[in-house]
Amino acid sequence: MKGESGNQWKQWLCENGHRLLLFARGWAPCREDAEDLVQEAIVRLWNLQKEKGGSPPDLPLVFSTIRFCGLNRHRSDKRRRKREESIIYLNDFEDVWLDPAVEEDEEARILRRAVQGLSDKLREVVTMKIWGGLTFAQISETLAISPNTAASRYRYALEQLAKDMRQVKEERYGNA
Amino acid sequence: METPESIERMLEKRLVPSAFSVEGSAALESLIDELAEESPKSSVKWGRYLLGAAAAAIAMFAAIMISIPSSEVLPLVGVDDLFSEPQGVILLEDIEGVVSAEENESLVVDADGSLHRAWHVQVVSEERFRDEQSGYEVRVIHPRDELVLMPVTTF
Repeated sequence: MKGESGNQWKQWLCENGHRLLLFARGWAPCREDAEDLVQEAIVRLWNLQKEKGGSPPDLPLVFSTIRFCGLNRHRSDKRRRKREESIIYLNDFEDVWLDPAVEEDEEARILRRAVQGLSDKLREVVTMKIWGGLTFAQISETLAISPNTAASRYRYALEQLAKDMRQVKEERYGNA
Repeated sequence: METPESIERMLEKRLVPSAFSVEGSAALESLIDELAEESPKSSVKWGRYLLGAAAAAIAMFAAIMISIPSSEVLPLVGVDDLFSEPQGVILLEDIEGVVSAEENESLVVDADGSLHRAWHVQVVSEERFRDEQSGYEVRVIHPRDELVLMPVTTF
């Protein structure tokens, strides 16, 4: 039974691990810390789910747990300083949150930079909607905001991304 | 001309979340194996909790003494015994977690001039001990409020 549960979780992580990692990136200065954050959330969720039969949890609960784990981490001054020092890390070419689906896709790279430049509030809604596959109702539950606020943030984020894309393209290629 | 709709399509089709590193995947896999094996004892930091366990046992002992009339003599565990055999008290669980977090609207500037966003966070830590001899379980709960300052990096 225990082995069965472990296999279920492994399978679930194969399907969803990258989504969780992306969300955790919003709460961690680098990929390694984001991976640690996902692990911490998994331990908490494992213990929680044990009482419910041991099956893997729903994604909204996982996002919520990662968010709380992230907040827990930020409570330490030491970690706060580390995060400030690691801001440069985010712009490191190798340390990216998203990858283009196709190699050498310049437009996707511009979009990726724009996503990383969104404010935390907007980015977490976009992350949960696009890559987490959550509904606005589920997002509102996770972030303790109203579904209307979740939808507004999402819409505003898309508008901001569109504006950023237009601006970068104009700067690069002019108004042709 | 980019529109929110075209951006949404681009996000869905042309960007994918980065995968776990090889080390991260391996660590996650072994974590699941460990959890499935259920070996929490190995992860308990006994040294750190020894004093806490003894203190909890003393509190429990004192509570029992108060509740028993002086004429009754029961074979209770003495304080000396508790100190000499602290391994009789087991830390079953040590949990700490954020139960609610609310972001303040205003921004805070620290002494260095760095901008921070303040979060009002309610944290509860809970320790659960069991005295193997008596079978009693004690829960120690510490709720507290904290103000967490998150550095603002984007606007």
